[in-house]
Amino acid sequence: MTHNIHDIWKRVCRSEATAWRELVETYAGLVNGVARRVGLSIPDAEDCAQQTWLALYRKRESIKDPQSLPAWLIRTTHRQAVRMALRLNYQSELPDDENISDRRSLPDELVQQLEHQAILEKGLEQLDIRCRRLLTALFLEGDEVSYRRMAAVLGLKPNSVGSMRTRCLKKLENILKKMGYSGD
Amino acid sequence: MKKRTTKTNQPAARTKRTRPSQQPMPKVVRNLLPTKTRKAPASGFAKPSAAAVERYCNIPLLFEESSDSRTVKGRTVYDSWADGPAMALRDSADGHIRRLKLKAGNLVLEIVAEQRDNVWEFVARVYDGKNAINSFVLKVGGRSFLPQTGGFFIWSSRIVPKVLRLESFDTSVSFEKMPW
Repeated sequence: MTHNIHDIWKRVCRSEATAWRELVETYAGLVNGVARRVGLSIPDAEDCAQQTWLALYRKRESIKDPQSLPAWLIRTTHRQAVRMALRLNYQSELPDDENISDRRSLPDELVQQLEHQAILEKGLEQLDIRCRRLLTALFLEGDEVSYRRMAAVLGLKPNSVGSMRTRCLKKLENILKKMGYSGD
Repeated sequence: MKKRTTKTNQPAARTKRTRPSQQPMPKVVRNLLPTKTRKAPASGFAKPSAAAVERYCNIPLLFEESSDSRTVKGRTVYDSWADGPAMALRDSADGHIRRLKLKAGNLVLEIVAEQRDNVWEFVARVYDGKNAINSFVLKVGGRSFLPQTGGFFIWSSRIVPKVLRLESFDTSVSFEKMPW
C-alpha cells in the first residue's frame, strides 16, 4: 500500500497514533542511518534516533511542508549524534587524525543525497521483486551493468531488458507520485 | 534488371548506444538518482531493531493517553524495605537503595532506586514473562518516560515517586500508592 506523505503528515498533526507509526516506519531507516554514519554504536544510534523522533513530535505543529521532513530529520539526527558522540567520548575510539568535531557540519549536497536515497528506497521497496532488482542493479549499484549481463542475472532475454526497464520506471514514477514526491 | 550494389571500404554507420543508466527516464526518478557518481550505497540504510521502532511509535503516549486503553490494577509483590517500616529504614546505612517489584497480570515492573547526594536515581524495566518489553511508557507523577535501549527507564529526581503508571495504546496499568 502506498502512503502519501502529505496525507500522513496531516494526520500526524491531528495526533493520530496510526499516522505517527506510518511516519516512523517510513523514515526509521534514514534516521538510524544518519546516526550510524556519525559513528555511533547500534544501541547509541537507536537512543539518538529516539531523541530525534521525540523532537519531531514536539515540533510537529511548526513543520508546514512535509516534503521538508527528510531534510529536517537528517539535520536534527546528525546534530544529536555528534553531540552524543562527544558526550560519550567516542573520540577516544577514533584514529588520531580523525576528529568527531570535524563531523559537525553536514553539507547541503550530502543532506540532499541522503534525502533522495531515502525516498528512492521507499519507492523501490514497494515495487515487485523483479523490478526492484532490475532498477537497483541499473542505477544504484557501484558498477555500470550492461543489458546483456542484467538479462543473464534476471533470467530474461537480452532484448526484453529495455522494455522491462521502461515498465519498471513507469511503476516507480507512479509510486513516487502517490507518495507525494513530484520531482520538483 | 539486377540492381547493382556498390561495395565500399567504409564501415557501416553505427547507431550510438547509450548506457542503460543514461537512457531517458521519468523526471521524478531522474531527480532522485545520484548524479555525479553512481556510488550511492546500494545496501541502504541500516534499519533499527523492532524494539526501537516500537519505542518511537509510542512517543504520542508521552503527551496524551490512549482513549482505547483498558485499565488494570497493579500491586507490589516485592519491596526490599518491607522488612521494617520504610520511614525507619530510609535514613539507615542500607536505606539508600530500594528494590521494588510491581505486578499486574503477567506484567512485571522492576525498579531499583538509589539515593546519592539527596537525589534519587531510578532504573526500571518492564517484563512480560521473561523478556523486557518496549510497548509501555512509564508515568511517574507528572513526568513521562520512554524506555531506552534494552527496555530501561532511567531518571533521577529529588522527589520519590508515589504514584506509578504504565501506559500503552491498549492498556493502562496503575499501581498502588507506595510509602517512602
